[in-house]
Amino acid sequence: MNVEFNQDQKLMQQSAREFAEKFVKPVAKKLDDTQEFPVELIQRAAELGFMGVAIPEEYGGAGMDSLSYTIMMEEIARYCGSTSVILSVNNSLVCGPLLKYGTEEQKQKWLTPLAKGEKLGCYGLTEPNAGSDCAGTKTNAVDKGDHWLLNGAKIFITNGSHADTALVFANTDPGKGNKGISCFIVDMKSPGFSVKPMHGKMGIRASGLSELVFEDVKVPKENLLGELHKGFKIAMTTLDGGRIGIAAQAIGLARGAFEEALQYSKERVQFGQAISNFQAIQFMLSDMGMKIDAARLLTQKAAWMKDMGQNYNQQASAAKLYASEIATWVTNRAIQIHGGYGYTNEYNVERYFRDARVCEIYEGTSEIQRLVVAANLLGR
Amino acid sequence: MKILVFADQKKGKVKKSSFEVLSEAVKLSTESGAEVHAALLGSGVKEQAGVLGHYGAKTVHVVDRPELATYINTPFVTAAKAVIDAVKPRLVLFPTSEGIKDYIPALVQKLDGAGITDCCKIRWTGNGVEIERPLMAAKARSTMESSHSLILLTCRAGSFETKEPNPSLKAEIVEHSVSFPDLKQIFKEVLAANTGKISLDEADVVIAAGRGVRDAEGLKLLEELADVMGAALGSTRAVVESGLVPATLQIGQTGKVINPTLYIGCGVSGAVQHTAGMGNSKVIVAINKDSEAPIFNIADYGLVGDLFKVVPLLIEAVKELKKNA
Amino acid sequence: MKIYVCCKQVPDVAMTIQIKDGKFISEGMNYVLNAYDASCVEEALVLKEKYGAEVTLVLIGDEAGKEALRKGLAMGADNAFHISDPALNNLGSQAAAKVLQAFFKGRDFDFILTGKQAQDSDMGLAGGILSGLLNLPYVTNAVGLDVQDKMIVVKRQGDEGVEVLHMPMPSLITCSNDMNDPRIPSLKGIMASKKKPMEQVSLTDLGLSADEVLKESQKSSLKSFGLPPARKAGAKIEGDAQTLVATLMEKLTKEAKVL
Repeated sequence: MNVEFNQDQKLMQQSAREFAEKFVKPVAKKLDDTQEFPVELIQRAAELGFMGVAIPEEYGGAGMDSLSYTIMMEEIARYCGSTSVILSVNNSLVCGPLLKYGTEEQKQKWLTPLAKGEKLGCYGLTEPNAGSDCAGTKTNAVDKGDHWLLNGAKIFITNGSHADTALVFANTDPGKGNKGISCFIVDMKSPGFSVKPMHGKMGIRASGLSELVFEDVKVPKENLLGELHKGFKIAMTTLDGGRIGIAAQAIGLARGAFEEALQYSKERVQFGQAISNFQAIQFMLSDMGMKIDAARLLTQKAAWMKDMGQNYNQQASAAKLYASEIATWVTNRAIQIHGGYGYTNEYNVERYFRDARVCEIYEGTSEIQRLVVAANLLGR
Repeated sequence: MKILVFADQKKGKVKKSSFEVLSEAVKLSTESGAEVHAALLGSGVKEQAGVLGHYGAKTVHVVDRPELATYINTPFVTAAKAVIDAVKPRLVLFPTSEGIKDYIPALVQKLDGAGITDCCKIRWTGNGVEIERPLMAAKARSTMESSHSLILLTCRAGSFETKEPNPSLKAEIVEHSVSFPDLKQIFKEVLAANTGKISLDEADVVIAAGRGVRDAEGLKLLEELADVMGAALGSTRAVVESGLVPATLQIGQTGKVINPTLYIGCGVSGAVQHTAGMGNSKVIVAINKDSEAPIFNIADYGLVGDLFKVVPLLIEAVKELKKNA
Repeated sequence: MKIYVCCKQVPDVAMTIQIKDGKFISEGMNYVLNAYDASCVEEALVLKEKYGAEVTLVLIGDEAGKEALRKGLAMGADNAFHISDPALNNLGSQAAAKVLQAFFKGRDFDFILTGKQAQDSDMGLAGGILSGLLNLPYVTNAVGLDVQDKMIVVKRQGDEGVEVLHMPMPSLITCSNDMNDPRIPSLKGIMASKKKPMEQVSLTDLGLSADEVLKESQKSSLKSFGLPPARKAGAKIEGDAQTLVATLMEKLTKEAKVL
């Protein structure tokens, strides 16, 4: 067993780290304050190839592995949750299924510009009454002979405000539940397609979160992704891949907060000495570091299984579940170590906490992840 | 045995760093029984050679030639080598300047000597030297040893104690004639120092602006101080966030890590995020109204006062000092 | 044009430096391309884009050092030489210059770039010594570089300001990191760097004996590492502005001697 990164992965880590330190770190606080989508930053990320990390070079991607992708996600989330989730959606939720299920024509037309980062993608699954319960999807697509007619709405769509291409899950066979869902590639400039920005989020506030509304949107026939009525499977396998990215994001956020707390504990003097000399602080630090390490190994294992072509459904859920829960815990402890200062926005730890919290919710709540793990354990 | 100190000069005037190194050489000579010589290279510098005697040089070797009027490495290497060949010292000490840093490698190579730069402690071991020097951005120190037959060391400014000069001490002045080879490189010009802003992480003196500068007016005051001191301007995160200065000027955990000889924090409170980036400064001066500001815990000189009153006077005092220098 | 860039792999000094019993703890440190050398690579690539050039990297180091070379290749350099030999671990400036002298013997080039110093030793001698050994004109601490009429136009940060020099070809120039902002290797560049030529060079290939290198190493030796002395609170000065400034000037000139 080898737990050392290979040279590609080490170089990827350096590039992601340099990008994060040079461009993400200086703007992270401002992004959180203003809730503005970081257009320029994402352009830079695209130039470096961060929009299609694990997509083959022939389709405009970097042709790296899933493990490299987790490395990038961690390095960027270490400074900014918003930026990392924008990349995560384009990489795993949009490019991922286009690669896996797209026809050659679809890959050339849609995947290539997305993987190159010339275009930005978003993933339209969630609805007011349908999150992980895909069967409740109200958005519907009706076969009009030479096109599909799309109606309905999606909410909580990351990248929505600035995306060019959406993957939209719609009901194509009402009454069939999960077996009547199909996935469509939708050009967001299509007539009838509108986007309403959503504000007021607790964390990852610059992710372009939006509501997507479809009013008689004509979708060309050839834009059906995968087989008709088989969209549920696409949604579920896509989320498996996405979970690895979210796990890495949670680890990055936890690490960012942990590093700040570690540093602060060495500099903050109370009762005549650095607070890192106190056992109470030491115990917190050791647990924080340990949990981050454990979560990272779990996530790397899931990524490795994916790269090996193994079924990684259980490991992806376990990694996402554990990493997101420890991220909430670690970022919360980081605030505790900072004391009163940690509760103010003069320090970054409160932002890390707010950014981390959503990792337990999106791309499947912790409860859903437990069900997935249990289903695997029980062989159901 | 002989110790030879190369004095540094600016426009014919011997720089203070030279006296510091010469004082250290005198100290080393008492440990080693060595004779202390000094060397002065330049154009129109002969008149200044005598002062090196007051600091304990027995003999001052002078190369006073028009070829040395503007700094360019080849003639300085030639002149320095000629003096060393004539004096035959065991140990050669230099202050630090961009010119010396430039020409010392070639000198080490041509003399087949042992070269160590940026020494902050020097001890004579009996058959050579043991030195200490900062490295890894001054985050660590190393101890090195050399017992080579010719050792060339550059000294980190402010590391050694300068002795009071004794005007009754007179040195013998020896002029050396040197034949300079043709230059392969062509010197064009020196662009005025203030055209290129001094970079923060390289600067010897840094003026840091904290929240206390309040506005553009306050910042202008600090820019003026930086100008007269030949210093770089830096700032805390708060000042960057207020939009007064670009992010490239931020010192600290989220910014640049600096290690200047002199750091002057104006209106800087000293939050750990900032001090993480400047704690390696050799001398820290803090100017702050709040006598409880944490920066006073690490400042060598903490001025409790209003920067708007203190800085204008400081600018005048520095101007005065420069005029007399 | 043919440009060589001499590189070094160094510990990432932005990380916490740990020293135990006089030894530097390398475990847990990231090793990176020396930042000053990265500026050299960047500048060479800018000149390549402007005038056309072949950019070749040279590095002395162990197996791990290949990563630093691959970073330079990922940035856009054309090829690399990896000089590796058990006798060449932890070389000082003088020994490194000796090895590079042997490497450059018989090679044609227009100029050599190298960092003004390595971030681990901060010594700043190797480049100048190498130029002496190769009998090349050189200039250190360059902050700007261009080529005009077969001369290299160098801007150098000197004591009095920025000095402008015209250097003949071939020359050696050591670069400051103020020169530019090195590009971050793109993922495409990283993948492409795998296919670029990297040649292994041993001491024997250089026609150099371990003794010749040792002779240089022995001129000075590194005994131990330590941490800089910790900081203590100094004097708090109170009074009116005049008193404060007068006291400060007195202290800075007489006591601290930094003015």
